[in-house]
Amino acid sequence: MTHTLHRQGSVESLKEDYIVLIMGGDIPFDIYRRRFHKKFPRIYEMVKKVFLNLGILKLLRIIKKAKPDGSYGNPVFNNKKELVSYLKELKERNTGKSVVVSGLFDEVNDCLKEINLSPHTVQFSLGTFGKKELLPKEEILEITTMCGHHMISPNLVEKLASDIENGKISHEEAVRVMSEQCVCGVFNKGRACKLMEALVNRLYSLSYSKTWTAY
Amino acid sequence: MRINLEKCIGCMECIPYCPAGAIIATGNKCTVNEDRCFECYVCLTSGICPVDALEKVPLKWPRILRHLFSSVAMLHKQTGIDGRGTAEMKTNDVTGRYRHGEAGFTVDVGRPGIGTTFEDVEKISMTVAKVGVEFEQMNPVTKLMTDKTTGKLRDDIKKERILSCVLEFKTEDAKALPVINALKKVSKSVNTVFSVGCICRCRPDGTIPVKTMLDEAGIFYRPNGKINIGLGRPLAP
Repeated sequence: MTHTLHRQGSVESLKEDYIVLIMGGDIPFDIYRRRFHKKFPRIYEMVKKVFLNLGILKLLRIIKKAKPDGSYGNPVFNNKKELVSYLKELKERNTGKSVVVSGLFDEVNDCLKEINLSPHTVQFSLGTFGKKELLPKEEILEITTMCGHHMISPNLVEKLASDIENGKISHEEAVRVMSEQCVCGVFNKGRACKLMEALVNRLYSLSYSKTWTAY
Repeated sequence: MRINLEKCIGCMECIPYCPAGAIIATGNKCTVNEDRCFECYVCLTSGICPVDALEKVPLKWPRILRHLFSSVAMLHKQTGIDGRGTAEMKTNDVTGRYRHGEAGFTVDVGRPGIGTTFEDVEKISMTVAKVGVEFEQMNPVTKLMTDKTTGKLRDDIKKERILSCVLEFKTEDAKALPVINALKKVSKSVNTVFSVGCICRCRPDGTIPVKTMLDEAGIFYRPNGKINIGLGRPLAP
């Protein structure tokens, strides 16, 4: 999955958007499952039962809600200082796991230099090809691409913008609704709040209809 | 996914949640356009329906692929990875998937948020295959190929609609530009969008050969991207 590669937005806005992914390597999940089953058969059966009853998505949502930062392992930062401090800790722990940082190349490289690290492999986004006329407005994509798997529908963003304009909900409430759809937890709520504010201003200063309609 | 019409109260609250735009108002009820539906279950898991009218439909082959390539939490058994089923460069410091002298590519077909059929995925895979690329074995789309040298996919899956999938391949540095040109060419004949990622192993002196090549050829790339910072412990020396 390349779910944090194609985030869109201005450089200024992206300066508040850094995501850290920690990956265990290419050892198939099935091997872990079998090892776990062998060591703890009773716990395995219990966990399996919970998974089957709830469904994995519901379970991930519960885990996500239970964590104070609202994520289940993919921290999102809106400033370099916190990013540096987190990366420093990861370096000191020396777990042997892969660590990937998504963000502005120049800014992330500055952070890496501070802790004497350098890029091992990089991935560039060459942008979007094909029938671009199918895409929603740029300012909506800036929000929806923060959930790389696109669990946040452009229609939902427009509907929430309409609700904000009509005084039904606050910006924060709208962002909460959107972030709940992003199960991976890489949706940057702080940045989304600012983008939502700009979107509402833009949509409704251009005398758009105040009532949301699906397109 | 379907909507139980006996339960549906026609509040229309679920409509904006659907990434496929597959939920439509029919009279005073909502229904799901089965052809458009990605089976991503976003409508269901959002918990938006006040009367639990959204119901899963048992999925058989090949329709099950819609769910596999549209839901986030589905595990791709062949690769052991959830989401779109590949670790690509994220674990390159451990796996050595992309080495010096090679350019890696990820083509996210259907992304951002438009969706695709496997018919369009095959158009792209067969186009880049002609340039001479090596498709990644630990990738669920490669597993659906009947011929990994031509990029041909199974015939029985072509009509299935999915939210997105990642075509993943690598080639020698020198072929990176021809690959990008091939992608530009095929972009005119697909009925969707695709997002392209270009991967490169950094040199010990800090240079990034693919970046130099992109700069020299004047090819656009975003100022943001992904960096594997090399903390992973290699599986083999």
